[in-house]
Amino acid sequence: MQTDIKMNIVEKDEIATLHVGGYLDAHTASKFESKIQELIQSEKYNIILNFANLEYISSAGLGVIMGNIEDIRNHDGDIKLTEMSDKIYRVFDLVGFPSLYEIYKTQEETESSFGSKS
Amino acid sequence: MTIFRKNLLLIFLPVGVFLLVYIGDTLFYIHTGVVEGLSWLREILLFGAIAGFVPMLSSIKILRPADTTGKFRVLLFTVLLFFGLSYIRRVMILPAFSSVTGYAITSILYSLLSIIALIQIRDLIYFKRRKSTARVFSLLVISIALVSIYGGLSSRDFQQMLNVATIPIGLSLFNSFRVSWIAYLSKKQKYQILLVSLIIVAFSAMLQDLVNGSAIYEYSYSVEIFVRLSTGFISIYMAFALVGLLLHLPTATLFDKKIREIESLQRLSRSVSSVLDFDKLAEMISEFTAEYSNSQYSWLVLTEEDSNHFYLSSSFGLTQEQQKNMNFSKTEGTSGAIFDSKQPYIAQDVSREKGTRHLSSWNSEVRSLVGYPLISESNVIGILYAAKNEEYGFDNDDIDMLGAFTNHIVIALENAKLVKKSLDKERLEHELRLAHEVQLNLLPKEVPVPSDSIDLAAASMPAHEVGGDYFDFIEIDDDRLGMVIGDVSGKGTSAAFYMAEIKGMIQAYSRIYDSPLKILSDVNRALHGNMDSRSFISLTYAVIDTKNNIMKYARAGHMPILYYSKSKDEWIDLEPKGIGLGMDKGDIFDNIIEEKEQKLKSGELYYFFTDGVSDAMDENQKEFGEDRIKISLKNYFDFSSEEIKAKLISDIWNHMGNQPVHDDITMIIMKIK
Repeated sequence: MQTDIKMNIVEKDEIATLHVGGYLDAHTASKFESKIQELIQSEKYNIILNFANLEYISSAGLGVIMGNIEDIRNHDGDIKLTEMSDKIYRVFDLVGFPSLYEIYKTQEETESSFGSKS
Repeated sequence: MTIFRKNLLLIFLPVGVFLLVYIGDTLFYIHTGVVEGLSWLREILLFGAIAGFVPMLSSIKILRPADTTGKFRVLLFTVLLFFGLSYIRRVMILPAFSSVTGYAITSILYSLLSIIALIQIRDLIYFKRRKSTARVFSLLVISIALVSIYGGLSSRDFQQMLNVATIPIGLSLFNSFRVSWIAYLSKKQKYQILLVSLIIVAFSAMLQDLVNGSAIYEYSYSVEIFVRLSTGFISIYMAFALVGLLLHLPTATLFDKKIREIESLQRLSRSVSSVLDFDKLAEMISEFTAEYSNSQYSWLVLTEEDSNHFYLSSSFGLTQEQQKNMNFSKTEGTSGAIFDSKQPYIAQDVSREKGTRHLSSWNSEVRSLVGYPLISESNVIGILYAAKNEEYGFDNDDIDMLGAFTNHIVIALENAKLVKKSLDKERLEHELRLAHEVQLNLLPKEVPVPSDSIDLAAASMPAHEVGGDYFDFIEIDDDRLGMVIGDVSGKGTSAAFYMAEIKGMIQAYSRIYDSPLKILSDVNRALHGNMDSRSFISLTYAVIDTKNNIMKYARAGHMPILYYSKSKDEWIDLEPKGIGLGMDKGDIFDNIIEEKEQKLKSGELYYFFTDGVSDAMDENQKEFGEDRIKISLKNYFDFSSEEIKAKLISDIWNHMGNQPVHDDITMIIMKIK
């Protein structure tokens, strides 16, 4: 089974959007982790994870978000999730992410949510 | 036996011929020409007998020393024996020596000595044997033989003989150029052999005179010519060897050095390739490098993955302070230059070269420096440095030797790395095996039978050696059965440990509290802070009250319980609110989590599962899905829980086809009869 992940970062003002597509599972979680680390290293703490093209996410993928959230929130930043399919949303929902993370329908909404905060 | 006979034949055949000729000589005076017409036969027989000695003499071990010095020793003895014999013959003036017998003995002995000497020279010439080498030498031997026989048969005209002899003499000269053995002598050997060959040349110059005085011609003209040509060749060859040795003397020291270098390189690569401990090997490499290049300092740097720097693996002659101040950037300085160019870097005067001037900042003693890239599969995996306290400390030989050395180092380093990797892997596998055993012990061995009306079945199949899925049954008391299903994020040993932790906690709390909500809330508070921040556990806990047929349950971020009612023919996802264990320190968790209650009635099925079941993918990454689970469960509803489980699993297998198991598959089926 060929599962792969596709990622790219788009920066706009003070917000960095990480577009994640493909399969985010135990095999690709480390790549995802290093992208997030990259953002933290360059002091980008306002992060949007855009899951528009994400096909699958496993607990390892959720773990990466959880593992970095404290660090980011300590820097007055946040990780917000957006544009995920219903199927992906269900995974987040089952685990209880909506009560711990901000999840938006669209990229614009997410961006403006950062703006309103600061 | 055959060997013995062959050896006997080798000796007796020529000896027999000599005896035959001797008898002929004494009885019939053939040699004086009394019996006309037979002298040609006598000459051929004698020469044949001499030639017949060659195989015998060649097979005597003591006459065939393997080393060059040994050959010269034999040569020296041979030449001295020539003189010894003539001394006995001349000074003692034994009457026997002037008789027919005396001539015969002298002739035979001289021939034997000539052959022994020729064998030595042949072995010297064959030191570096090529096809042409053997051909040219054979030509010489054949020409000597032909000229000898021709001389024995023809009139004894000196001038004519001399003309004919130009052919073997010319070939002797030609063969005398083959002195390549000189190059392989050590300095000491060169001096020894020079002395020996001086003696031989001095004596052999007198050999011709000696042969004159011995009057072999009285016995046989062909034997005399053979001895003359042979000893002549020996003289010429020795003279050439002498000149060759003299010419090689100035470079003898250098050659010795080269030989020593090659030897040390061999010794070094032997010891280097036998050390498999990576750190020890690195230490050894810098020590050896300093020692063999006569450097005061040596150090080995290796690449770090995903880094812009090399790291110092080992060093020789550097203080702690100096080691700390070194900089091995892949983009600047000498290391950068070597990393980029993949070429050795040589700075003969460190202070004058732009690229190395900064070296004085950490070690002002270094004057000259060589850096060699260690290249494996066209990647620079490290750099080996050697440095000296003097300018122009490295000559080309040193640099070449280091180059040869680095090839061995690369192989040794890669070997050690592989060994380390396989040891690490073995350790990891061992750990996983242990964790696997732990995990197997954590899962219940058998499924309980809580009451006549409740039919339970369960299965758990880890995708990897150690999975993250977990289920358990807790028989709290006669009327209550606790059921747990969960999924620890992350796999491997840590998952097994979290599982053990959870099992202990739930087993303990379930006996204290009746409420699943309270149990999960307490477990969450205990877990949070004790878990890796990347890990969480999704888990559903249910308590079945068999007396009242009630199920109380709470869900900590886990998959819903799929509930089917046969009479209503409807599916309901039992999905009370809740978040995963370990995600929040407690307040949010407690705010969100709900506890629900369900009356258990006959004709119902409750399906607990982990996402491994619904996410099982086929070759097109299409998931099995909850809908398919429901279809299968409904189809098999009339079977027992155990049978339903088996059939459902087989449906999942069929869906996956040849695809590997991606995630653990765990389920509990509860059917109310």
